[in-house]
Amino acid sequence: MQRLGFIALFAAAPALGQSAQGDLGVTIYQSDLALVQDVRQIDLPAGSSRQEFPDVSASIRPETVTLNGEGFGIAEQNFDFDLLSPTALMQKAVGQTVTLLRTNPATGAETRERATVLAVNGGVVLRIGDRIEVLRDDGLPVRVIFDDIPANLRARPTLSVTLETARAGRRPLTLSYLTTGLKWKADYVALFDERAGKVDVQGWITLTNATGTTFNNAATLLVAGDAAPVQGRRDDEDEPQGNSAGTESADRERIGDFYIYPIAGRTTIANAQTKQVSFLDASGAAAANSYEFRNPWLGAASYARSASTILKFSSARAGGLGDALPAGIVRVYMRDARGQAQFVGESPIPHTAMGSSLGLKTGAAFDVKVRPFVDKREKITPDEWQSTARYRIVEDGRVRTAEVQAQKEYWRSTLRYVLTNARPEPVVVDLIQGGLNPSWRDTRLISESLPGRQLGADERLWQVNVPANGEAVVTAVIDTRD
Amino acid sequence: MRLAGRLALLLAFAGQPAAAQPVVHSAAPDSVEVTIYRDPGRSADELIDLEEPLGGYALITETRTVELPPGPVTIRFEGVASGIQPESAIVRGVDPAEKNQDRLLLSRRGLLDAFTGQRVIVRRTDPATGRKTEEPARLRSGTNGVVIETAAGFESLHCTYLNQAPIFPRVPAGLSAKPVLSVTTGEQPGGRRQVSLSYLTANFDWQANYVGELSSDSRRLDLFAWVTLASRDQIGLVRAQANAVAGRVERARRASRGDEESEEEDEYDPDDGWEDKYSNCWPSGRTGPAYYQQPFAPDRIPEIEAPIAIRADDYDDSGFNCDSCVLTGSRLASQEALGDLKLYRIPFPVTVASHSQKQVAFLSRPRVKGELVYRSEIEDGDEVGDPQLLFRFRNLREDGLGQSLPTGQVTLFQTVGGRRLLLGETTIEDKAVGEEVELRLPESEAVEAEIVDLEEGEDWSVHRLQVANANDFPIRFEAEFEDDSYHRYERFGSRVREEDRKKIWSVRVLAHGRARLKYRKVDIQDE
Repeated sequence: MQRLGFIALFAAAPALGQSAQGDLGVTIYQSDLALVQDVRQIDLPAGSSRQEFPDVSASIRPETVTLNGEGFGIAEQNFDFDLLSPTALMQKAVGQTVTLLRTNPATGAETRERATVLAVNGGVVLRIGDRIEVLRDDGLPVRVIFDDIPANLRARPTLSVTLETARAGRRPLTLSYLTTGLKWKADYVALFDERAGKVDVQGWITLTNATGTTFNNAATLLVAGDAAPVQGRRDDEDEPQGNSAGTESADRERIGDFYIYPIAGRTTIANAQTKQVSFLDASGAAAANSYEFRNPWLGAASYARSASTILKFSSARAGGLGDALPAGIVRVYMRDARGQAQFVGESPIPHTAMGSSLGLKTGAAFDVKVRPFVDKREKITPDEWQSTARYRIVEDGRVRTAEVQAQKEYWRSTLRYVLTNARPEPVVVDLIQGGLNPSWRDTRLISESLPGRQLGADERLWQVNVPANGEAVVTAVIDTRD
Repeated sequence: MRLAGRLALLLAFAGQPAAAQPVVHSAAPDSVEVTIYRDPGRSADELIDLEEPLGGYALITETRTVELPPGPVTIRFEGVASGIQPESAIVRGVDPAEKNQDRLLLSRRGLLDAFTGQRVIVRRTDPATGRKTEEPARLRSGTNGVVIETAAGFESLHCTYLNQAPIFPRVPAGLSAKPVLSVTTGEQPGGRRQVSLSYLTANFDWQANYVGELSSDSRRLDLFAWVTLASRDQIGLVRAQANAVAGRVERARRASRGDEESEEEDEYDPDDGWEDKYSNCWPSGRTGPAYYQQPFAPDRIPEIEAPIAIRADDYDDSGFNCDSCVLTGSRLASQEALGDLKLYRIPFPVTVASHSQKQVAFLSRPRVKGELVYRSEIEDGDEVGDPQLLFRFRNLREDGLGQSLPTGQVTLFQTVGGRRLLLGETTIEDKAVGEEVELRLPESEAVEAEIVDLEEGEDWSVHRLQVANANDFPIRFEAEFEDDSYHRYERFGSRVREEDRKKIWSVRVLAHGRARLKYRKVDIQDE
């Protein structure tokens, strides 16, 4: 019980930083879950004894607690989370006597009397001598003085376990439990040099502790790659071009399918703290800026819209960052004319295997714009027929079939895209027309002014060169059916 | 293991808390640069509202000088902006092994938490005589409602409704007035270092504000524009290099406004879960009707808000009301390309005070060539909408402009008969060089359009659109005919141009003149 003495009530210094925690190991997952292992040296008396474990996480999941050690058996595990509060104190005092100290508001004179707490139900009912009274029914101030604080009311959450010990003596006890409130994610700083076509990326692990408890001097392990939803990208948002999964293995420790990121040495994870530890520092990876414009359906726009800017780089060993990237947010910076790094946009990334290609949307280009026009939309009835119904007719025991055919109808859209570039250098825009297959059948491309590439049934991509301070026009004629 | 390499230096101190390392305090930056980004969710016609938290943000870069002892050291950066996003912090000049932001704040909750189990003094004031008495006590529980241990026994501090309060002997170590960012370095030689710290921080915003003076013949526009910077941060930035970034910058979702989940995560409330000191008191039900008991002490300290600081006599600032000053190039914010965005740099140091708004000019172009256009849409085949007044110009150098125009509000004036009149207020979206810009003005009375029916057949009719210009100057009138599933327009009496499935008749109408167009409308039968 030596270490428990630490939190003794008469400690002189503030309680911050003082703790009954033992040798701590913390494994943090990305889904707001952490496994805490706390090895405490405890002197156990022989026979039955009640052991208390203060300074466990205030967000502990008590059903996950296990206690390991030698030479004892667990008779009973109690998780006393009755926190000390005036209400709890009063509730535990039912049937007991307390002292009431009344102050006369006019004279300041004090009167003192003993009272028995009969009930605490929406009001405190007291017996004072042979009278029954409700506490503060007169609205006047009164001090209620309790003789004692019940042992299981505590200022901070505390575990207690009743142990049957065969042999007395000091030994390590390993307490392990799961807690919520510890989280980690990755944050990346990407400094993009557009002229050199390079990006320097620093990766930081960001750890947040909202458990209410400080973990002192803990050996910390971070596990990447679980089902935690990545915050950031909206589900309805289209992923930009240039993302593909990688197939390389990173030089990282793994548990099963998960990469683990140990923090070297020991670290104190203070309550209400955000802690960042570097895990990646890659410089000179090849990177390029590109533009993308997506026209979501066969429609026009009333004014020119900015193309998205996409930063493309790779996590491959050759020419890339050379590491697996845990899910997080990439913040992109570029240097201004005076060399000062300025923020130009951020994008979330999912867990990314090494060797992946990344295309991050960082924003919209001020100077590169696209305006789609619908020059014509007309109904076309080509000489094509389809059967719309077939009947099987039974007549006098003979079966014959009849078929109904209808002429196909198409909507022919003549689309024109005007791409403008106010930058002093030529750019390439990935122009994507979506919504090509509204009825999931029979869409056909009649003509296009620039050879395009189909990205799937619903989308077509044209890579358009737009000259410096100039414009380019692409036209396409597309037939669709309702 | 790169990680192991970077952090191995920390091992030297394994077994001791990091606090055992020497701590260097950096009280304030030597110089500050702030780059403000617009609220992506605020539309062009919404004004910046300093009464509400601002949805934009800023990148703050501070340069600080620190004197470091050799070896691993913890540097505490004090006086950073209160809306700091700690995970965005970048430190240059030292090699940080670890960055921490501690949000254990010096608040009533922080004090009670720190002093739980400690001695405090309880001061009581006699309501009748005003006499104060002090009694030593021990704090037994803080956060869940204060329970104290006195010579008499154990009792609640607040549920008595007496005039009594705990007095704390000192500020506990580890509590700070504001969230503090600190970095822990690896092994380093020590000495005087210049450290630069940059981070993203919330509660800033900016926009462009344009003032246009239309010439009396309505063919030229004197265009003037301000960059309006706004801050609601608690910390004012003194003599800062200020920039603003135009264009759309992608933010990951957690930073956006209105996302409650992210706000919960971002905003740390020091009094979280403990709003009222009476909240954990025992039940106080009474037999009589409930009446409101005024607590003896005010239960809420009034919020103090800094006044909006605009100092007209600040030499390093541009004047706020600058109608009459002559702006030379050196007083104008300069513009440069930042990747695909535009950066506006204010050429002199400015003081961005807490809870304030500041304006600096960035554009002043006299006599931009353009024209006034009245535009009407033809509705239902034979009705014409009231003409919409536009001032249209191309953003070209040869027309007197040729400069990127960031999103903002436009106020247009015209001097008519010696008097300056407000023509109207409108907005402008981001416009690149070379784009056509249309400034929409209110509907006009000076130009009238009407349609006269001439002939009618089974599924067709012939009409005449007539326009009358009551202005003292010539104008351009445009009518838009859009074919739809009920009507088709054909056989126009004059040339029309086709654009975006619309047929547009564009005509110049002389001062006090008229113009006419004959056309045929065909009703489309349902097939």
